[in-house]
Amino acid sequence: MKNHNPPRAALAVIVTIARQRLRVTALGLMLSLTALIAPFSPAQAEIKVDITRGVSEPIPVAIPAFYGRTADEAQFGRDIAQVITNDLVRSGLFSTIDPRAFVQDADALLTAPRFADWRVLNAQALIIGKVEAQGDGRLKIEFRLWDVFGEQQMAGRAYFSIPSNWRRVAHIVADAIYQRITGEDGYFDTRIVYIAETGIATNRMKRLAIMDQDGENNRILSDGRAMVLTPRFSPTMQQITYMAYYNNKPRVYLFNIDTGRQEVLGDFENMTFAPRFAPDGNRVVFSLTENGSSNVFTMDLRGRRVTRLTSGASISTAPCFSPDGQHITFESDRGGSQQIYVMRANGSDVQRITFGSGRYGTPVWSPRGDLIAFTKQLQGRFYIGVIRPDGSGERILTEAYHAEGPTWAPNGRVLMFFKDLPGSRGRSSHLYSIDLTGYNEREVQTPTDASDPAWSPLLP
Amino acid sequence: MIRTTVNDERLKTFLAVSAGLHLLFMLSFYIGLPVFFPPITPPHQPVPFEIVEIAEITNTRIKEPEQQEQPPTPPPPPPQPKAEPTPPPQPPQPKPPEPEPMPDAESLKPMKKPIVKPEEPKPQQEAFSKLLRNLETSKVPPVPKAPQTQEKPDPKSTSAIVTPPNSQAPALSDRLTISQEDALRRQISQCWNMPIGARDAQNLIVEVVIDVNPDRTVQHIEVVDKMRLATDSFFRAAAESAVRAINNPKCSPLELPLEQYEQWKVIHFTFDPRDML
Repeated sequence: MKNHNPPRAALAVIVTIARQRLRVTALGLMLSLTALIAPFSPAQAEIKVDITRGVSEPIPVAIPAFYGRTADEAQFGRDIAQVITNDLVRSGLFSTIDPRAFVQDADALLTAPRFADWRVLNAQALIIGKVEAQGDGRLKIEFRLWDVFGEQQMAGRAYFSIPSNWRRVAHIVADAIYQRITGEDGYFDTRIVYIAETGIATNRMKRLAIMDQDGENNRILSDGRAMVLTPRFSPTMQQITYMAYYNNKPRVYLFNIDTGRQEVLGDFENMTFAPRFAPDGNRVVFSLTENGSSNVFTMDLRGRRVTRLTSGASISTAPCFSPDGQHITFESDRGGSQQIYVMRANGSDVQRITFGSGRYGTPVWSPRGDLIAFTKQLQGRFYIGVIRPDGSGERILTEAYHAEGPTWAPNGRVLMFFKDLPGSRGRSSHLYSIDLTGYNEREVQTPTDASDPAWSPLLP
Repeated sequence: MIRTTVNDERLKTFLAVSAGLHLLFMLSFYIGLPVFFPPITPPHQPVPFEIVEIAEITNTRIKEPEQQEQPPTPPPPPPQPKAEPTPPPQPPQPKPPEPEPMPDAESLKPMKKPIVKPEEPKPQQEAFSKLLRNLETSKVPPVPKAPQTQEKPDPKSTSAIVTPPNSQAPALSDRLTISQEDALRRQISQCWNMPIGARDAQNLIVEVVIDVNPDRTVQHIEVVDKMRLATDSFFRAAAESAVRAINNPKCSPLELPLEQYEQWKVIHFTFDPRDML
């Protein structure tokens, strides 16, 4: 037996190997057959369709009043739904469905939306919410965003706040909805500083003012003794920098909105102007006049150390950092006509990026980083446009007799600027917003004439 | 002498025979040759054929079923005029009361305007031009409209033609025709709200695979790049816009020939906004 065992084992091994080989061969044969047959098999058929065209229409959303059990809560519910509606519609990306067509009231919606009925109204998204007073005096405001076609909840959150803060909560809810549907951050919970202008042309009073981005909660910040120009928001805190004429001396100032404290930025012999914060909020870039020319400088706000970035006899001004802080764009007439340039943040590697006809000025880098907004003057008219930082893709968004001062919403999607309109009683200035696509230009209502808007970052 | 006489007589005989034969030959021309065995004529077999035209971008909602019935009818000439359903003659047939195509209505100004739905014209003007606005260029050229006109196939007419899916009627081809694919593309385009102003919109190309029910409604939608869907909020928004386009009730059921279900039960869509930026 002992003698027979080894050959048997060897045989078994051989048989096993042979079987395995056979399996492998059979498998290979089957695979190759499948590969041959596959292209002709109808089961494998799959049509490929490229969709390269589409439409650009506002997305229809339904926003019924938020549910409130008591009369007060219900009133808050109606007001909040209205603010959300206004925010979304003003963005131009959404349209709302007439509430008279609504098929379910706020109460019924909380249990279960009847999607089929909302589909009939062509609502693509449905926003429902509830307001509830808490024992500690605060309000609980919750919302749910539903995808009507997919019958799925896309977002849902609850906020607690004091009742007087309801408007801000509404903006925050609108931001959440905007962010969830478009993929971009919202910009509704933001503020605008601008120059409120009053009085006749020969004695114009220009004061610093602030309001919510939808025009509500207007406040005047300066007393009118000094003329204030070019306010700019700090990207990191509630601080503003601007140029003001105190005692007929134009200087750059810093102003803290919360404390109301104002301080001058450096004590320079000459005029300083066109200030802007760096993205980290720790530096300010500005212009300083020197013997008829002007050049770009930065100042560190902690050590107050000043660094020169440009030099020469030309006028270089209106500097603005890129959002990553690596580059600065500015306008200069060093090439003969006023054009826009981009350089590294240390002043090296200066590149001209505009070559069109006309004078280009006040470049403002988008917070998204992909575009630079500018003002252009050509044949007596003003244009607001955008261009990529490498100088390609220039597009003109709007034109006017006089339009200037573009400022970006913090999500880099919307621009605000001001227009001077000639009228029977002299010029009047108004603020306008426009979508990056060049559509949806709207006036922003202000109590007085307004110019030089500056958009805040999202409120902390 | 005798010799000559004999020769004369033989000559006469030959001449007579020759004349007789000539006469017979001539007569055969006049009367015709007799037919002793009647020929077996094969039965007349009509060869069916049809003339097919490949339209570039129209949705010729093929009226084949009617035409295919015609070959059996005996006379060959009548089929011909009917056999070619070239695009021009078709429009009269599909009922005019529902002229959805907007641009068409514009081109035919006076007649159709009242019938046109009031809502849609404005968005459609923008729909097929560049969607990013540039005042400098937009002043000069008028909106270049795609010929999105007559081919809008009233969905009802589509379903009207449909033959039962299991019928053995020979499909014209194993694949959808260019026209049929184009009809589907056009339909979905009208429901796709593009992510125009989004950052890097040129990179937001979304691939979606859908399973379709035999009744041409969408059964299941799947975005191919799931990793990016989970990590990139811009891509997610773009993908959701694609999904909304397919789910949009305005685009249901899909414009597809019911009888070729095997061909379109899985469709791979690529939503690419680059051309519109």
